[in-house]
Amino acid sequence: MKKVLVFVLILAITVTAAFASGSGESADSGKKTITIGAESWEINKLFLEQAAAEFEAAHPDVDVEIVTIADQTKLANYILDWGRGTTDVDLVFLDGGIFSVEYAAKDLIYDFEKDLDFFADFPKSNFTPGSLETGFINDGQYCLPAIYEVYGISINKAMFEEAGLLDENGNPLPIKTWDEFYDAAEKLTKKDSNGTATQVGASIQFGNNLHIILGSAIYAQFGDAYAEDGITYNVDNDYIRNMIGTWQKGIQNGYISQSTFVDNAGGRNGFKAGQIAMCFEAAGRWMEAIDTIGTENLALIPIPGDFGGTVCFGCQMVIPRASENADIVCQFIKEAIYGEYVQVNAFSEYGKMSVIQKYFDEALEGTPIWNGIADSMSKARPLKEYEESQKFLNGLNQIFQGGLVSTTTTPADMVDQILDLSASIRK
Amino acid sequence: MRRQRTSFSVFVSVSLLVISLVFILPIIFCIFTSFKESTEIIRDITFFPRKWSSVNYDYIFARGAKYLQYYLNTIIITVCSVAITLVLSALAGYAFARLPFKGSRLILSMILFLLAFPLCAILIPIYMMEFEIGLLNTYLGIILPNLLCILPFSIFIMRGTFIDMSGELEDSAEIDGCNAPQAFLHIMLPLAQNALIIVLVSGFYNVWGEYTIAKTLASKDSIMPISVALTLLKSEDWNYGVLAAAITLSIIPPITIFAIFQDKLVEGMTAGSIKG
Amino acid sequence: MRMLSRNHIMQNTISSRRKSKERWGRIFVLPTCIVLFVFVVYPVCYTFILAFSRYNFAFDRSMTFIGVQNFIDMFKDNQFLTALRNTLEFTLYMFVILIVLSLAIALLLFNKKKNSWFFRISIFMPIVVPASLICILFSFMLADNFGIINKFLLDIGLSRFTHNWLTDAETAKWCVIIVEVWGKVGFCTILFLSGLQNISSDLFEAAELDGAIGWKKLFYIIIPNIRETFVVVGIWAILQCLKLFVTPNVLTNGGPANSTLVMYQNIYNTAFNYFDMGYAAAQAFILTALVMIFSMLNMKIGKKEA
Repeated sequence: MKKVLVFVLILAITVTAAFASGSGESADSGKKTITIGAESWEINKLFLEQAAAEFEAAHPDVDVEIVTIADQTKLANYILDWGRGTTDVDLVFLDGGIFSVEYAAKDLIYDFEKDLDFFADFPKSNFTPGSLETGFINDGQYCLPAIYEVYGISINKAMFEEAGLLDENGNPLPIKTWDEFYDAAEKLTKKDSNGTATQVGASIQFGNNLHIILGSAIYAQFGDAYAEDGITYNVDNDYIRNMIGTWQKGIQNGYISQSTFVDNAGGRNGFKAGQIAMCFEAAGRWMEAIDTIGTENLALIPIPGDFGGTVCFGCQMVIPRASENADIVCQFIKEAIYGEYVQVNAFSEYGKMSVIQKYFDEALEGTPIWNGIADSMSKARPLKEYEESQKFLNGLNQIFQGGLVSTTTTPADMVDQILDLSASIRK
Repeated sequence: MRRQRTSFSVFVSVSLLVISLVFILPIIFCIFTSFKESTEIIRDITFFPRKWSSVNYDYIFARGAKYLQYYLNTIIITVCSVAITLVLSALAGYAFARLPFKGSRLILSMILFLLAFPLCAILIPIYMMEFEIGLLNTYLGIILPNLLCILPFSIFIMRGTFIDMSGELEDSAEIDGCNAPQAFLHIMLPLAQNALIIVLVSGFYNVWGEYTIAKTLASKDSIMPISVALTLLKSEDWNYGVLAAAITLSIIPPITIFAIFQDKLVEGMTAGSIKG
Repeated sequence: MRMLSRNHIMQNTISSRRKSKERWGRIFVLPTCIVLFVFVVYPVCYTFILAFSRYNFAFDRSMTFIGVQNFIDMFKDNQFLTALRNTLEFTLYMFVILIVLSLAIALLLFNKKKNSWFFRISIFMPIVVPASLICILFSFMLADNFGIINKFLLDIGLSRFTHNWLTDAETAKWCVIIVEVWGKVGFCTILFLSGLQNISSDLFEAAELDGAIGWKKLFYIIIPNIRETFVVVGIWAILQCLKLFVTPNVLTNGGPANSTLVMYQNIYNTAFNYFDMGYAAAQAFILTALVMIFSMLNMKIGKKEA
């Protein structure tokens, strides 16, 4: 009896398994299907479904299918699949160029310029300055940015007003140095009688994007994020030691939030909740806070520093060499992703900046708050991606999360640790 | 004496109430949160929603009937894994406890090794293997690694139970001419009901919410279980309202089942306790 | 002479019975072996070879055999040593809390036979919530600025007790332990409860007649009689503790500054973020060894007392 049951069960499973694996591969005759893999936020914020519908309408012989990627560890699977020359996606959206380094190293993805000649009928001059470089990995255009973002400081003007940090026209007083940033954070922090902070002056993203925070702060001062060797972050100087010192003081006195230590979204959520006054992260954060804080209370200011630039990074697209539809995918990128609908709406709805200059200008007109960092946007440059970027990022996180709260570690120690870390990883 | 009894039972009830609240309050908070709008969730938080709103559920259901498919996948995967585990662990546990053979200790220690081995270290080789033999994105391809996780422990539970049982019944059955499978089916297995229920619950517990295996081995909607599918709702960051709605939806079926069958479950455990 | 032959016959039947038992034993174990071993032979062997090789899955074209270098590197690697220390620390605390708490709850439920469905359901409820979602829920409740727990403390005028629960290294540890226990204690309680229900009621009556009540009853009657349950719960708890992964990964991401980094998570990161498969495999074997040592210890102790 039991054995019969086992037998039936195993049979049933095999049948369903076979059925399920078979059902996925129904090939349409005549119609070509391109499959796009993207994370849920990319599907929403880059309007991929609308882009697909638009493209299908213009090309009735092509089906565009979108699959959701659970998270970036999925990328390990792609290395395996693509290494064997198979793929179930034709175009993949990556959270940043950092994730494409592995593919580029193993030559699993197309170089848009050399292999696909993408720019023949789509000149590079269409792109916003700086944006295309975000997809330049290992000396090749292995990625194309779908949108890009810059770093900046979103601020809550209502809190600035209360702290007396607005000028007579209602514009925020400029914050030119990290010492001024610290003073502002101090003024913006409110504590109750027990010393518990009810409003925190600032948040800096000491989490998943710490290398961008550090890189953009260096770049904003020197106009180049790297030291003389062209690859190590330029941290070995008094300016950076002083900057880290103000961060450390800020954290230890409770003027700078620690939330981003464990939750990468801690800063933006606190900003949204109206409990953090300044949020140093990707500059688009202010848009998320419109519902809770109101457009009239929001503004953007550039990162402190003499040069005044900022770092940009993109949401990148890659095409695996295993894909047979690279030419249609390129067509899709040119028409749909780089089309007006996606580029303008991603910018004006979600602050994901257009990589196409003419749509960038168009969208900018509708959202004047961006003008607060217009100068620094025009000087935006991407950072270089190391081979062991993930290890570098992880090491930075430890150095900062440990050092900033420690009373015994000095900023100079932390700089030494960063240099050691930098020397130990493959670039 | 009686007064002491009453005060003891009051103590029991009060402590249970407190403990229950600790366990249930976060879940109730989560259910309430799922009915709040995002402004209310992060500003001026309250326990009860001030304005009931279905916006989070709308967000999920706007993703279409796919969710029914995800549920179905989870149910198929869980039911198959648990059913196979029940059968195999009862058989193997009985054999290890009552029918020792040459090499059984070796096999047992190999199973202990599997129990101890961190699955994530073999996930990539498993992926490569399933790729080769075409098991990727099939139910079987997810059920088998799940068995790796739950079967070894279940075997230990069953083995322990069968070792604990007195041999008298079995011996008398043998004298009556029963062979091993008959003795196992008719005499020992009914006595092990208790342990079977534990295997069932632990198997269910491990497979229902399993994430790592499914994330790696299932990428198609037709196979993906709800635990992975819910994380697809994550935008750049979790929208806590949507998250809360997702949790609420994912726990309703098992809690309903549990609420209906909890009497049976407890009864079943008690019924197994003939030994002593 | 007759006696001898009867003995002989009996021995014969016993030995043939034993043979038959052995045969059935093999048959009973066979399906399990097929399912378990056939499926893992290749992955485990592959991992075993990896453990002695350098192989970065993303950058290296092929494996390089390097002997025990991975194991030597490990004990010079601060990240690994931190993870090892944290794992052992978490295991110690969690194991004790899990066992004591679940036994206590089981005893309470055991003494409350009527009208206990509400208690049972609420205590077993966390079992059905996927662990990763539990953690996101708790990270929301424990958040510094807008978490309900800090908000609640503020509202009832205890603002001096508000705290950055997850970003302070000390409290983050305890948050991980508490959330983990919250999710796991229900299952241990079920195990203990069934163990308690296995004790015959005669035994209790006899004990009560002897005047064994309260603590005495607990230590002399109850605990000795659920020893087997202790072994099972012990193994389960050891497994859960040493293979702790989801909670630190989701709740604190191993932070702040690696204060909640555990071994399983380190293996996962090494394999899936750094793609350093060889090193990850070597660490996996160390973790396996730890789990096996502790489980065997647990069984030995359980047996000795029996």
